[in-house]
Amino acid sequence: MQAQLNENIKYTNLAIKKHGLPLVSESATPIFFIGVSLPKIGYSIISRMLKDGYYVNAGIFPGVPVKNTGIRFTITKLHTFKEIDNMLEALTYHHAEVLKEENFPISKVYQAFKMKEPIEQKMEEIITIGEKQSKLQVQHVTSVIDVDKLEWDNLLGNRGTYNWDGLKLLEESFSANLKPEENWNFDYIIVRDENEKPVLVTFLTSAIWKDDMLAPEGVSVQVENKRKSLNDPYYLTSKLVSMGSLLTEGDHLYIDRTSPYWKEAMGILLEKMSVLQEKYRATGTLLRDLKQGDDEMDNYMMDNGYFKMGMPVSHVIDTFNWTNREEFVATLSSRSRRHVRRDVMDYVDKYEVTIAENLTAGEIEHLYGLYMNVKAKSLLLNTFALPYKLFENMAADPNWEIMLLNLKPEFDKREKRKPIAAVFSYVTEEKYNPMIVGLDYAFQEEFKCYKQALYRVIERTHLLRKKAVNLGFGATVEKQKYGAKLINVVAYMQAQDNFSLEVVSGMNVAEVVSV
Amino acid sequence: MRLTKEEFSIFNLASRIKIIENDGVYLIKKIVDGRHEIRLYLLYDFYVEEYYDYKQNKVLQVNTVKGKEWLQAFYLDMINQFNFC
Repeated sequence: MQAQLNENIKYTNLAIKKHGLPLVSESATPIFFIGVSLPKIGYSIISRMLKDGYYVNAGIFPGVPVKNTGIRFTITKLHTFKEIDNMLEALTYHHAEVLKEENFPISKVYQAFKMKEPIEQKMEEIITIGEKQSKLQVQHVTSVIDVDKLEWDNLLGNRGTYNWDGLKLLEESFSANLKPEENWNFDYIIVRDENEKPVLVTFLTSAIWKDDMLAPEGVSVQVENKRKSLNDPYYLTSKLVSMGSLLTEGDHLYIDRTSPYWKEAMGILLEKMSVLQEKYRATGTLLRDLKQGDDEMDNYMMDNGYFKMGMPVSHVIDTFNWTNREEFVATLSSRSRRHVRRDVMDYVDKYEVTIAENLTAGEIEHLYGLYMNVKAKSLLLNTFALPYKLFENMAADPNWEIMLLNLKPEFDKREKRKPIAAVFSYVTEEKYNPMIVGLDYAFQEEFKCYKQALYRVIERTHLLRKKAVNLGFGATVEKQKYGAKLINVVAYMQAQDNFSLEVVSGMNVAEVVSV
Repeated sequence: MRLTKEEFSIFNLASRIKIIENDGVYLIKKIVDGRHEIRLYLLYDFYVEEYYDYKQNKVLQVNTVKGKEWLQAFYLDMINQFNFC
């Protein structure tokens, strides 16, 4: 009931402005006060409105100063938008007519109430976002440097690539670049209770997304063709404020659900995102990688105007009950064993696999080229290419491992042997996170370099005694052969403009190819 | 009352449905994944989509559409019939 009344209040405030009536102060209540200045003007309007079938009354001396007479009316939840429109049309007409009859210019009404005339006013937001009086303390900073490293890593450090160091590298890589899509805004939100215990911790990035990123591949093909023909890479792109980033995945939201303040903290986060949406002129906000099947969160988000959508399935391997390759194969299903033996193990001895050290500029360039090969081939999750600076930074960062797959000399007859596959992985205390893959497709069919890379990443995780390897989105069929578990996650989105809801429903069945 | 796209966006789902009922011009619909229907409307000078769920028998979401260019991508096979490009 309250919600419907609030909608009617919103509508009435908006309609009054559109009709150009002198609303004395914008109301969050269902009682409205339209300035008329003189009592006789007020009486005349009321009489006319009564004849038209509308009951309004006067706010008049001694209740208000004598020259601050106004027309007061109330709306209820039972009024329809049409009825509100009709009443205001009548009021606008009679207001103007009576002022004309009394030879009383509208400017004098505004003066009496010390208000600016509509011509001088900008259209203001109906919904204002303000800081609520709360027991919660909010820390909002725009660089991870201003965040306590220990606290951050304790809460979010082992979930993926976004521990403190990982985010610092992302900030350095996605700033001061020439192309707008290579520059992201970072915002860190920490909400604490009265005991300074974190209730909610997360980070947001605001970046340009391709509108077709989540669309079926066929749509992306069309849109990319259009971008080429228009020579406009920004055709159908939008800025989005998103939890996490385009280069991270996993549960980006720390939230203490045992705290009585968790919903209030979520409310603060949503408000912040809304303000940032205005600040960065984004068209929408997105919270992603949250657990599927969380009814309480579903209801909370939908009550706050967010729409739930499915995301690509993610994959993880967190069981390593083997000590050598044969034992690994033995852990797989019988069908998978056949595939893995044929497509991976039979090729193992053809490869030299190393972890890159001290890469030269030329070598980094080659690896970037391998990444661009993969980028060009896959439109299922269509994003802008990652900046070259990121690859230079990863090569210099001790937390990033770059696995290089070379063919042995007897299998690679090129003048100079170069890696035919590369995997860029972020290594945390507990997990191995392969994030970017590059391939030379000239060797893919003969040597199955993607499958080899996938296996080698699993092997490396085990060698480093990590608890899990996050294999990311896409290639579900392939990853399941290696024993990967599926992680179903959802996203909640609120957009001013629609990416087309078909995109949203399309996501539930899309197969995404990634690392 | 004629609304801009931004003004329309401030209202909740129930209000948006009402506004479309009053002032929207139905154009076309698409059935997606066998369970949902997306109905496209022209509302004042912008487009909106209603997302209707067969099983729940209700509209789940209403949102404005980015623009004509986006409509071309998603309604390409129907564009020529209705000539709203």
